Amino acid sequence: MLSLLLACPAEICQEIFSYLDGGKNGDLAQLSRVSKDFRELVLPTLFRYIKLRPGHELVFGDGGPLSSVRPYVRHFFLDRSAGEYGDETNAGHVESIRRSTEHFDLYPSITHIDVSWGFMVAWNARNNLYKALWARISTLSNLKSLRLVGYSPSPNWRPGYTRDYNSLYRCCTSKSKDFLGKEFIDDAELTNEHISYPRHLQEVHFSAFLELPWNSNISSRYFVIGNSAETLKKIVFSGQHLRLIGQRGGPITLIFPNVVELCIGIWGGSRYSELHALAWFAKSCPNVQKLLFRTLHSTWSFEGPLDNGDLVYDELISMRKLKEVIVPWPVKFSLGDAHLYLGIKTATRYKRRELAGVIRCLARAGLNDLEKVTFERRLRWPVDEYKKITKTCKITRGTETGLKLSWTKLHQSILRPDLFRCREGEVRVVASTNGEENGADSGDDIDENPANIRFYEPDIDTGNI
Amino acid sequence: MSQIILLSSDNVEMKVDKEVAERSILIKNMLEDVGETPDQAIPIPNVNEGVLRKVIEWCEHHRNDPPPPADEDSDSRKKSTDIEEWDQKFMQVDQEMLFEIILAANYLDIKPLLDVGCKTVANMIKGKSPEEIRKTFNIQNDFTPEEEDQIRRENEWAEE
Repeated sequence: MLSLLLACPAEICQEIFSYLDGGKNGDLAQLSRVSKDFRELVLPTLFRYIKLRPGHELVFGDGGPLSSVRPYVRHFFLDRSAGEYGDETNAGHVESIRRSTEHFDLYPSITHIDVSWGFMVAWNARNNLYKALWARISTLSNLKSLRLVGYSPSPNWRPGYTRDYNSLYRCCTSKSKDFLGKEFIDDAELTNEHISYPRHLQEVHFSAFLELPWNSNISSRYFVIGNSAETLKKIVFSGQHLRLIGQRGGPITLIFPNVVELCIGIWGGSRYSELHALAWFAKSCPNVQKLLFRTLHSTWSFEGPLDNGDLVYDELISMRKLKEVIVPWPVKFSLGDAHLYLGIKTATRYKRRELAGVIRCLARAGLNDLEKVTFERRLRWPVDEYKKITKTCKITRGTETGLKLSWTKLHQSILRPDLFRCREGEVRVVASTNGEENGADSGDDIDENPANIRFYEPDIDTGNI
Repeated sequence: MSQIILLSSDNVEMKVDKEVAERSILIKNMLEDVGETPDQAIPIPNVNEGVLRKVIEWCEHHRNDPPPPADEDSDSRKKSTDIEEWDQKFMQVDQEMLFEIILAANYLDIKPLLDVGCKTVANMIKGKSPEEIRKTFNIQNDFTPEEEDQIRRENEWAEE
């Protein structure tokens, strides 16, 4: 029978293989040991995804044991996680990156690159490293998806380092010297004129310290996705901080007309209300259909928008095609007892009636495709930044009655975000009730006393942030 | 219920309900292009009588299936190989027929049938050692021991 498989069109083989396990002991690896014909058939699938860790560069290099599989590799994972280098020198780090990326031109099929960058190393050479790395990445003509973890596209998060560039340069191997270039590259040179940023990307995922400028130079300066503005479909930004320079309402000069999915995760000390990141993206990506916006602040009441009498989430109105939205739970302030963080004001979560008001306002403002809105917040007690409670509203439109909102019960889960990889390393559902609820509720209806919480392992996977 | 006639590669005519035949996107598009239900038999040059009967049997059983959900992410790997009971029985045929059905489903553009066929083949490979795969399907091992060693070393680099 399997000889019949050999006679099958390639796309049918791919379809069959897509049901088999990869990995060194998986079904595909076993199949590749059956006979020569089968090995040839399976190799493109078996090695579609490879991981290069420090020290592995030579395996796939010229004459290395796997140089023959390079044409099949589509997904390239360069693992430079912080911490793996230990006491290695900066010069050693540069050399390692140079070697890992040296043969990019021999991987013509690469569509995905995933670089986990050890960002505590070689600060003073970063601009030069960026330029060199971008030059190599941009030679990949089929590249569609790029994920850079530990990448900082803005200069403010590249602090001055005690060693200057020249002293690092002197320590490098001669090939590394060619790779980096003799002259130090300053921030002003990180522009399209000087750097080959990739074009035609469809998906980017950046995670690090992020800064989004409002100014008119944005398409050419600091901003590596400017060249792919027309082709990008999905943007994921996840970082310790997300900073916007300038004031809300400043000029938006960079538009991503085809981005339909947007995930923004801000870990660290950013308040929702002071950064206007959502407003920036809402204007830059007007055609988003799926939005996840998540903040994580040490004070729970700063994670969501603050109701000061204005409509909250009015920034969403510029994304006219929104279908699914996950956003922080809005908070209302009122005068009350003295509070550690808030002075004499007291913060209270929006109740369901108020949440419904937000949705109705958005719908009235023209978000006619809105189907599902989820509000997300932390537990108030205990103050644990990774425990999340969500409430989801499904929206249907009747012909006469207007909007019909059906709410799910509160869903409580534990997220353990893996900061460098921007995903939830672990998700445990603490309390979850499926189905829709009847009658009114406060929106605060989970008993947040930890003694009453029952843990169990989930069977859900929330995927990336 | 309007009916149409299909003509197999070995010149056997088969009458089927239009709705059943339209599980095949190829036939559906063809009928839409023609505009009206044709009186003449539609030739299916790549599929012989036996296979065509099997394919029609599948289409009859699945005539009222709802359209499949849109592909969320065609690139996502590790798909489920679960097959519903009726389809499992349907696929209990000899290996040659199984592949004929897969090829016919591919040609006639019947995606759900193609999926079931591919899952069936995948399940026949899953969890087997190379030797078991060879035994089951009567394949000769043409690797030298040195080559086998080399392959084992290369496969060490395959990622999940």
